[in-house]
Amino acid sequence: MLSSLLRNWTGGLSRTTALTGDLLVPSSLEITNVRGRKRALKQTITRQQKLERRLKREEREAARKQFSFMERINIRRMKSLLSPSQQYPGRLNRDEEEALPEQPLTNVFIRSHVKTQFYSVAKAIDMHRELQHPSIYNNPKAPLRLRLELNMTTEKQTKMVGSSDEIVPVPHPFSHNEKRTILAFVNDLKLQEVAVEAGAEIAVGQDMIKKIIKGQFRVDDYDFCVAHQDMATHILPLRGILKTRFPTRINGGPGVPHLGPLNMDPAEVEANIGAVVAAACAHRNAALGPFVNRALLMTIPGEEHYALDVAAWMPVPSEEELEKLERRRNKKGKKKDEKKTEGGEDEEGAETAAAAAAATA
Amino acid sequence: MLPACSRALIRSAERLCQAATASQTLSRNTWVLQRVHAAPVTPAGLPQRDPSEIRELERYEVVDYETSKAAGPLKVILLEDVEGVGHQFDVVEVDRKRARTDLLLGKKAVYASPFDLKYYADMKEKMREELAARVRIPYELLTVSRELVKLVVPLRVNMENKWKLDRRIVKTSLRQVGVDLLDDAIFLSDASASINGPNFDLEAKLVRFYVVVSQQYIIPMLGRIAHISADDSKQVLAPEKLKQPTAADLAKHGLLPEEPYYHKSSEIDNEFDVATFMRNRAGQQK
Repeated sequence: MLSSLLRNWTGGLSRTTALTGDLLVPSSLEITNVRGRKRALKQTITRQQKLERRLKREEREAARKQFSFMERINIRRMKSLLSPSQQYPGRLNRDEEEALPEQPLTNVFIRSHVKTQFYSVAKAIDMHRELQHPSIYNNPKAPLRLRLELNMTTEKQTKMVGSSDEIVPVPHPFSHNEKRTILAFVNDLKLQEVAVEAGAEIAVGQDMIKKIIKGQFRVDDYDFCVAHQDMATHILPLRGILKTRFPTRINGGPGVPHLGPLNMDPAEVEANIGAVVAAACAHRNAALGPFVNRALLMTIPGEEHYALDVAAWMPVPSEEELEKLERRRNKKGKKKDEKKTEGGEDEEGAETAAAAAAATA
Repeated sequence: MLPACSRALIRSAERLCQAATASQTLSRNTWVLQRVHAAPVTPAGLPQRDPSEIRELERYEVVDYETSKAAGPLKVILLEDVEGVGHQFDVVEVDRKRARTDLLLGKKAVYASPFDLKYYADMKEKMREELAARVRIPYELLTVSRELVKLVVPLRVNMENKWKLDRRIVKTSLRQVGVDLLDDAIFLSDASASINGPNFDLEAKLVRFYVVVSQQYIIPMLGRIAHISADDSKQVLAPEKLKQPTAADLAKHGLLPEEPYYHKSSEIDNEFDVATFMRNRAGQQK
């Protein structure tokens, strides 16, 4: 009897423990969780902390009130203006004027209501001459300035066309009062003389290169360097010293990089512009599209600018170059596609595996 | 390539779609679906199985739906001249949103229904003479003139060299404020043509000149003499900030307020005495 009672009792006990094990434990856990969160919310802060917070908030508000809304906008704009390509007269964005008509609809038109009009060099010079006429700005010999806006993108999105200093030989030179010193590397003594006659400050040979490396001969005073072809291998150690002035096939040539005065013959100015544009275009693969986004003819000083039609001087990419570029692009595309399909297959595999697992379960 | 049966389904759906447009449904709500699993072809001679017998055959996927494409422009008949859209009784295709929010609501246009097309064509025929007699200035001329009459062009002249106000100076000054001319469509009034300098008494003087758009539309414009120099050390005498002068301001310079004039045909060239014509017109209006 007693034993049966005992058995019953223990049985009841085991049942209660089972109950607590199954039901009470999770709910008690919940309670502790909730209690913990509430406690964090109600946590009091000391007077010191309150003061600190208030000071911080006031400081933040004061910083915000320092400039008005428009001032803040202007500050942001000024920051973005640091890039020379963004400075006046800015950069041509063809997407922005997509909705505008190609040609003016009337003989009198507002310039901002039509797409950018591109003028011939002669017409642009004509307009500049009218502006610089003695009865208006009175600067008929103003030096002409060419502003080129370039597309610096290359095949790779993360890569840009490198910077370079360069002298461009123009077909119609003219006198300008700026002084440029040119250092020529020539081995042959006769050619050295020719180089000096052509305008180089000094022509040096192979022996001088070692002196330059040792620091006995300063090259800081020379603005540009040119080299004869037979010196190509000898000047290689100077690459680190000359940096951007180091003569390469692209930038090595003597001459003057101005366009000429306003009273110069338009045909000559046109030839000069052609030379400069062609030299600039040599820096980028022609197959990638036009390097020059917009070419503006301006005067110094003066803000008036006219867009030039430079399409004639853009290098035409050969079939071979275009094909090469296409092939390279296709290769990249293929690689990406392959990666994608591989990924897709993997996912499919995972899915089928999951489905199989579900089926077995 | 879709299976044959689903292609047939799409065809039938297209037919449905056409039927829907023909009956002028107001909502564009047609969906083109296709079966996920193609039903097996019923062998010849055997009765067709109940399509609801296999549940898988009742699963469909979306091929296309009508609202995935823009509905395109709306064809309306204009009931009055609307700038930039067309003239009265013209049948034009306009942006759907513009038509709904502006033209149709404002009773400036009606839908080009078969009845209305006939009704308004008859009315246009009836009113032909009245419509032809109406003076209608082309929209592109209006937009240019509105921009031009707002301007007070600083006429830049040199402060050291002798100058005489002429077309070239006005043209160059216009170019500097962003107005380009393809020809010499500038006419100076007699008073302004006699202005010469340098004369600092003339600084900030208002000058009247006329620009003729498309040899047809004479726009009276205002210029303001501004002596300048390429030399930075020379100061510009008057502030460059220009506001639209009132009639009282104009009177100080001996000018009258003038309105643009639209000539019936494009024949205003260098032989046309624009200055005298406009002066007489302004006198009459006064």
